[in-house]
Amino acid sequence: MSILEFVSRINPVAASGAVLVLVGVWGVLARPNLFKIAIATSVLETGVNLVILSTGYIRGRTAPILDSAADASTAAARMTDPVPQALVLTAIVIGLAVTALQLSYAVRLRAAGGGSSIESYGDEKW
Amino acid sequence: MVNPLWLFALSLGAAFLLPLVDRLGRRIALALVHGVTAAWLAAGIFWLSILLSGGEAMDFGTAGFMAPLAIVLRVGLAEAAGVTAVALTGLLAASSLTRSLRDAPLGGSMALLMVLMGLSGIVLTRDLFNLFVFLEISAIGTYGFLGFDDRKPALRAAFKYMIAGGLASSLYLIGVIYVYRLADTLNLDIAASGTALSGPAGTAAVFFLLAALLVELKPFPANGWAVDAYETAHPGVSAILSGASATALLLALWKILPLLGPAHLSLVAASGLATFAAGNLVGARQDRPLRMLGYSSVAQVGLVAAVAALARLSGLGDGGSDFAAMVAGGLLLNHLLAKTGLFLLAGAVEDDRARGPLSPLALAAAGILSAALVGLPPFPGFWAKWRLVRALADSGRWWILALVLGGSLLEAFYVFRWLGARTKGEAGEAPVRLGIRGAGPVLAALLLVAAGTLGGIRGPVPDLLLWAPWAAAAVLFLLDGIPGRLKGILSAAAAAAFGAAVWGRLDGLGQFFAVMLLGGGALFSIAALRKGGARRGLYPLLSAATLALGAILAARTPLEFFFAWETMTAASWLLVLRGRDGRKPALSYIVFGLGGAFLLMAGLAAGGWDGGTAAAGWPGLLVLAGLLVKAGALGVHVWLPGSYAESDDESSGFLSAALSKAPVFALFALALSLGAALPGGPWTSRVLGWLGLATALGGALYAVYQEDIKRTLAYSSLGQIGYILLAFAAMDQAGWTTSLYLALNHFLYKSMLFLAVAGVIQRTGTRNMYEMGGLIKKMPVSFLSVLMAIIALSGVPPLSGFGGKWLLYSTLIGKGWYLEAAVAFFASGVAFLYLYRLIHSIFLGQPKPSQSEVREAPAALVLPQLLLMAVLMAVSVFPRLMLDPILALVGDRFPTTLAFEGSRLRSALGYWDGTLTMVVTGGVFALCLAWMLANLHNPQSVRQFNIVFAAERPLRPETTHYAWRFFEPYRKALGFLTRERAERFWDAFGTGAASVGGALRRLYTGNGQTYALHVVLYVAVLYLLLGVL
Repeated sequence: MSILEFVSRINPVAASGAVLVLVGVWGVLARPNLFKIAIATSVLETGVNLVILSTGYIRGRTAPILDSAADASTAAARMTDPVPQALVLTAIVIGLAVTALQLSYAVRLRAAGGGSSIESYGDEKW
Repeated sequence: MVNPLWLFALSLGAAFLLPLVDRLGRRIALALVHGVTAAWLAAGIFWLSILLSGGEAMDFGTAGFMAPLAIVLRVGLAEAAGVTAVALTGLLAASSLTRSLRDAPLGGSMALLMVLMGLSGIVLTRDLFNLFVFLEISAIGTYGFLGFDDRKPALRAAFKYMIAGGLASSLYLIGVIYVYRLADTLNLDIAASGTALSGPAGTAAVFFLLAALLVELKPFPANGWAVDAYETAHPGVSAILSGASATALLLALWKILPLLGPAHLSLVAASGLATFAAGNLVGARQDRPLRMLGYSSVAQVGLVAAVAALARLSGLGDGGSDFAAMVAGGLLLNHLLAKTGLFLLAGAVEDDRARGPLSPLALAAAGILSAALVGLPPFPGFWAKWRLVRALADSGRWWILALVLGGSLLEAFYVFRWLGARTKGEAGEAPVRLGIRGAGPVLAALLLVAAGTLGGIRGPVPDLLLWAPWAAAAVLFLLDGIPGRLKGILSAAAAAAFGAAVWGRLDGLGQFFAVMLLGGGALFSIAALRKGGARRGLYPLLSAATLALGAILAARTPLEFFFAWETMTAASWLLVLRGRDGRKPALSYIVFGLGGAFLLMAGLAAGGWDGGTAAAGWPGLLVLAGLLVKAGALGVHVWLPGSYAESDDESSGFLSAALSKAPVFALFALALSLGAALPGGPWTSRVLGWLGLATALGGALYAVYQEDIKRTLAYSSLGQIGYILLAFAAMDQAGWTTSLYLALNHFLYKSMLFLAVAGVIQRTGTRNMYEMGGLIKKMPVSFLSVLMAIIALSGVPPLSGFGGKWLLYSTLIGKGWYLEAAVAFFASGVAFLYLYRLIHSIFLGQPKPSQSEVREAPAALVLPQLLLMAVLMAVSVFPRLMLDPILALVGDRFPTTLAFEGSRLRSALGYWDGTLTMVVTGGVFALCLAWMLANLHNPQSVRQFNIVFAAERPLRPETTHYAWRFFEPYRKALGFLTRERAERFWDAFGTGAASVGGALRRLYTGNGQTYALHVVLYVAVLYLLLGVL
């Protein structure tokens, strides 16, 4: 298989999702700022969401909406898989809640006089 | 059955209504929260009752559809139990949370509702994506709940928790979507029934699901974030996290087990076992109770996960899912209740910064919860651990067995260290009363007792007689307020009644030991009457220990025996702990006690009991080793002196005179089950003989240099047990006769010594011999008792000890063990030194002025001594009283070398006639006395200082009564033998284990990003391992 063929087989959505996942993990591990960690988590989740979406996509098929392009009898053969889209919606909502909560904790920690780097919150150890 | 959807609607509706209801008052809002939790609990119990009475598990679809079209919730036995457990933990935690929830913003109450609902959802759902949703609901609820009362450390910990949680949920999502992609379904059962997931891609997809769940289960080393949260959060929150959350997540893991291949299962098992070992190693280094409980928590969860995986992986315990459910379920139930209770209790105590001892009820709860956590009987963990050990032994997984028992021992060490510190509190502080916050721990303790007792009685130990120790302890504890003397009589009566009930089913050996064990318990219960007052805790424990000794004799199966054995260990440990400075000795007592018990357990589980071929091999040797630890053989004796010395004086006597015979009994029973042979062949007997000899010599040497009278007696007991072991090891008729004779003799004279010494200590208020002196006139009966006892102990004619020594040397010489005989003779000589000192330093010499008011010991001590003196006299004059039953017991198992002719006992070497000895000695004594009286002219009574010493008339007793460091000159000659090598060895061993724990805990740096890195690396390593497996 030539390189071009290999590249063309890569699902662009999944690939960009994977890149975002890696970026997110890197951010969580390497950026000490509390807010950046929260944002990195969000990036990570977005990447995962893209990966989820990519699995529902089937080449050459139409959107999973019952209209002139596909009616109920032919839906299974002509539509992409709607389930991952439904799942991703739920995941997005949950991700939003987690990000909001994480940011609010960061704000509370800062407001209580703590530093903005996670390294200053290591009192509990061993 | 109730459709669980209603309950979800109820929780969600209540959470949304809460801000409105709060306008009516926070109490009403909280009542709503508790009401909803109670509704979940009621539903759970209702489901359980239906399912346990034969109902079928039911699936509930959503939106009118069933799988695969819709999410399905299942109510089966595991699910019903899980929902019950989650709601129960929520309600138990309410007792400590309510006050904080009232003062905190309303979000805390809403978060509590959401956490519990999310956890119940995790338990109920059969849909993989729905499982994710519930995981996230409970996670978000937990994040909020961790910081609800705005304590700063908890906020910090919650942030770290969120980072790890975010990584775990991303992993889960990736896993779930590829499982869907490959299996075309999100329903667990449909996915598990197909083969779509068996390929490499499926394995990887399932791995991601599994990794996420494993991370949520807080594996080593990716669990720092969780431990930080356990330590810092409100204890009620920690209780819910450790109890309810762990239960739900373990059930989630249980649920996806059918998806897992062998490689996955191996990962779960390895990770779980590593977590168990590491968690306990690190926990042992903790001095902060909540963090310690956190480590213990992750360790326990690791064990449960490992058991579940092993059972499925390799058919551990016949491979039935029944085994996994019973063992993993039992361990989980145990962990759930014990850890919830302990977190609530420790949290309440820590919150108050209280340093005093606990109030009795709180103390009882703490004791029950700790004992349950460690897996002592009769709690569910005990039964589960027994089955687990048995299955591991059956399948030959020795490494895992050693790891499980070693980890448990470490856990016992640190949990009991904490309990000991809490029991004692700091001097001068007021007792800690918990009030309403005690409700949760007490309730958890009661549930543990109920679950364990029911599980035991309806399961492996239906014999109610074996439960008598627990019943006695419970009854006497409830009556603990009544006058102590009444309880003492009750305790003695319980021992007598138990003896009467059990007598008929004991064989000769059992009856012989019952006299010592139960009789000793009754004797020292009576002796305890010497002091008035409630003496809280003493009688319940003394009675429980006594009856447990009886139960050991009456046990018929290995499990029954081990059950009674651990009951005895636990009760006697608490007796030691009760002593004034009993904290440290009690810790080493229980650690060595349990160490021995675990060796015993491994041996019993491997078939070291039933006399089969296994018992003759190393399972039998394991049993033997366990018994030797309990007997205090030299090298593993380090627990003994401190515990005998520091416990209450009557408890010391009980431990030394009566309880120390339990391992002797078990040794005989073990040998008898093998047809009067030792496991492992002739070398065992040789090694055991020398071990006994070393113990005899070591005990005597150590005893010589003590200043503390009770330590002297403790080391003396050690030495005497050594002789018993030595004679037992001879494995012939003379040896066994000697061994049993020495055992009974030791019981008699050591009881007398401890009773007399208890009186002396009570009257003089000191245990140092050099602070006593000249008590002969003030305490004549005690003097006579000590005199007779040391004559009997040292083996001087005419008392029974002479017969013992004669028998011993006859045995050794007859056996050809000449060197042993010589060393034994030397040890007897050494023993004479400390025995002489008992008389010289305490009763003879110069009375101390401060002790001029000393009176004879109380009647409760004197009367038993008089009785024992009479018995000792009788068996000395008529040795056949004692030897006939013993010879009958030993019977014709060995070639006969000993036989009576009239009052003469004849061996191959000669004969001994106890009656004649007594007559001759008495005659010589009478002649001398008569001569002295006849030649006594003008006797004069001598006053204390009516002496001249080196041309000087001393005026102070110290200058005339040389008593301190009495045998110091001998130290130059023999001191090198008494360096405390065993103590140093075990100290070094402890230091080694502690430094491993210390090194491991350096992983937990407190930095949230390090913790995140641990999670990532943990998953990466597991993934790589998956490739290898």
